[in-house]
Amino acid sequence: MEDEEALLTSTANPDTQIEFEDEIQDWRNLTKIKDTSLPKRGEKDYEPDGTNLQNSVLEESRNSMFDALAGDRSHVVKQHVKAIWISSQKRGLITKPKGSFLQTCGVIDSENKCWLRPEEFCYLAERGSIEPWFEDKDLAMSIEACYAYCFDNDDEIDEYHVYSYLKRHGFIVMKNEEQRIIPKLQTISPMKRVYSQLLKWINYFTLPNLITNLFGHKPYPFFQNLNFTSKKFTSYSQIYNSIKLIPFRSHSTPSTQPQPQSSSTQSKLIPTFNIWKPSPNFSKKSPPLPNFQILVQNVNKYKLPTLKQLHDLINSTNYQNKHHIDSDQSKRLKNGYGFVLIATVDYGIINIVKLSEADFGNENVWYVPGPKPQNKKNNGKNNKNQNNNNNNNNKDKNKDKKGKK
Amino acid sequence: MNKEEGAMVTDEKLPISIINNKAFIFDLNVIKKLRFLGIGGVLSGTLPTAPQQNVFLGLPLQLMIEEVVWLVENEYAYLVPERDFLNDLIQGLNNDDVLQIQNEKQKLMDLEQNEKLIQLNDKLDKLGKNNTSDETKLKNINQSLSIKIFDNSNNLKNSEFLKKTILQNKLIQKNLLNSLNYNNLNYKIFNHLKLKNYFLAPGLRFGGKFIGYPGDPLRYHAHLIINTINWNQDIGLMNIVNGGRLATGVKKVWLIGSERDDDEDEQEDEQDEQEEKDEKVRCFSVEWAGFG
Repeated sequence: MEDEEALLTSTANPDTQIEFEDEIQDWRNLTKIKDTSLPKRGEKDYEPDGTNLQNSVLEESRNSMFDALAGDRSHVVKQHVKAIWISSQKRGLITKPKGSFLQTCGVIDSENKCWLRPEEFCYLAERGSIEPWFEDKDLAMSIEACYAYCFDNDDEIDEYHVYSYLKRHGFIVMKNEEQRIIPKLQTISPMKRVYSQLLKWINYFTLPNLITNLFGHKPYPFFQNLNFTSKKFTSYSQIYNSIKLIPFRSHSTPSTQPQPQSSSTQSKLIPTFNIWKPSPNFSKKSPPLPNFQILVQNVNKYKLPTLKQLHDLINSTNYQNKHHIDSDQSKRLKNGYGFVLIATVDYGIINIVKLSEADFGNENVWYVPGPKPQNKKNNGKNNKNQNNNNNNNNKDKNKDKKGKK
Repeated sequence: MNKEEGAMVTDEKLPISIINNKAFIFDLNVIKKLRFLGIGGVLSGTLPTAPQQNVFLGLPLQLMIEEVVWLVENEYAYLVPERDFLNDLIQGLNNDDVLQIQNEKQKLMDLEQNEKLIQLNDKLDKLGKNNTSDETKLKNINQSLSIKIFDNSNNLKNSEFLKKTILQNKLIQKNLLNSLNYNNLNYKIFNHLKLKNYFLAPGLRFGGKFIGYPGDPLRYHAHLIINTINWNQDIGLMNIVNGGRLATGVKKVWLIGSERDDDEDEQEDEQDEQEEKDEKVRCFSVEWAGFG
């Protein structure tokens, strides 16, 4: 565990490795890893050329790999920690907890016993920090047995791989426990339902919507002439505001329109793990808000979440500085008002994508005010109503998709 | 690697653990043999000797479903329903067996203890400071003995025997293979390229279904980003640009493969049967020309 401690105290920068991981590496470089510096990118060949030299180099690489894989998974008697897998609880039990991993793993109960979640149990066994033990036989479990007994479905295995990937990077990772709360069906009172229907109808008959609804396209061309002849404009800002006719979803005003009921067929997504940057003062009992939240999805099994699922997902996230709004506009547009990480998994290969929700509609990117405002009197009078026309009834969403690695 | 060479490596069928419809290998010897068959899989466990990095990972090895099907169809491997197998294995052990396992473990530790004691005495003799009794030395040595966690359960009694019965049970094998629920087209393309000696890996990193290497990825760079497509499906000009540009940008070629629909077979009945079998799969590679 020394390495983990070192990582907790130093501020590791996990980004440095990212490009390096993209390709399968030459295992002859592994020996270099132990002097803390990362190995250089190995030189590879374009294709087999049939030479003995190439064959022997490949042979050497393979043997380095096999040797490394044969390395012992162990800890010394002095640090011996035995953890029993209790299948009925789906938890690993340490009766005499010790070791530095306790700082970030497990829950200690009133009897000073430590309970490990399945991914914690498996991860600690895999790195050789605990000895996994069967409950009903006085026998140690193998890693094979841990995999077979700890996980109830394929998703849990994918989640485990993401968990251990992040742990190896030095992050503190905990299951987002909300996931275990079974979502209840919301019961809406009849009055509320009538009211929401009413709202829907009122919405239908507001002028721009009515035109859209009746004629099937946006009102802009129809009202162009009317718009410009019926109003007095004294600045470009007013003109720009008045032609802001394309509806968009704003992050600041929650949608008043009832959500389509089709959502009942889609399950609600909740982040799988909470992630903290390594910190020596971390308290697992009362952890601060996480730095990131991540959802795990297998690319061979799941499709991209729907707009509604993504929106709910980003809404449900809670992390440090979520409500901090950047004063710099370009940063605001780039980082958005909320984000979630999605770990896509393809047979143990992990790729992390950051999805953030920006609000381009409310940002004044088209007009930079001039140095001196003219004619203060009329400013802002006429276009007040126009501004509010930009209803958020359309779920147009500006997504800032950004591949992280 | 062709089939004959492969057969030399594997005189008997290799076990693949199936856990929740995923395929794992927990035995280094099996991993070595698979490598010589051109099956690489993905190492997805923490490497205990370097546990704080993600570049080099350790056991278990996870296999793609296409790799599993290929190994089973070519009779290199069989499937083990891991949880059922372990249940039977563990329940089958009586108290004497457990005691014996513990004895063996103790023996190993005694061996390590002796070795360490000899080493320590040698060292102290050389320094001329060997004046403490062996007993006090042993106390310290005992604290530094290692407790080993095993990758697999092969050391348990009856492991071999139980696996053999699973191997011979055709129904279990058939049901397990079906439960993997694999996509036939993906497998056909995998098989086609595997026959052409490509070494295939999951394609997530480059946004494809597979990545194709001209040989062992330890030595060679990938050449292909591979996607499969249904025979009558529109490929889409935009996708050609997408795939071609992306692949060329990372010094690869985008390959799209498909298999001819069965109903079109009849039109080409004249063709030699053998040829037809091979020719059912068609692949095209797309490269960004950057012309002009």
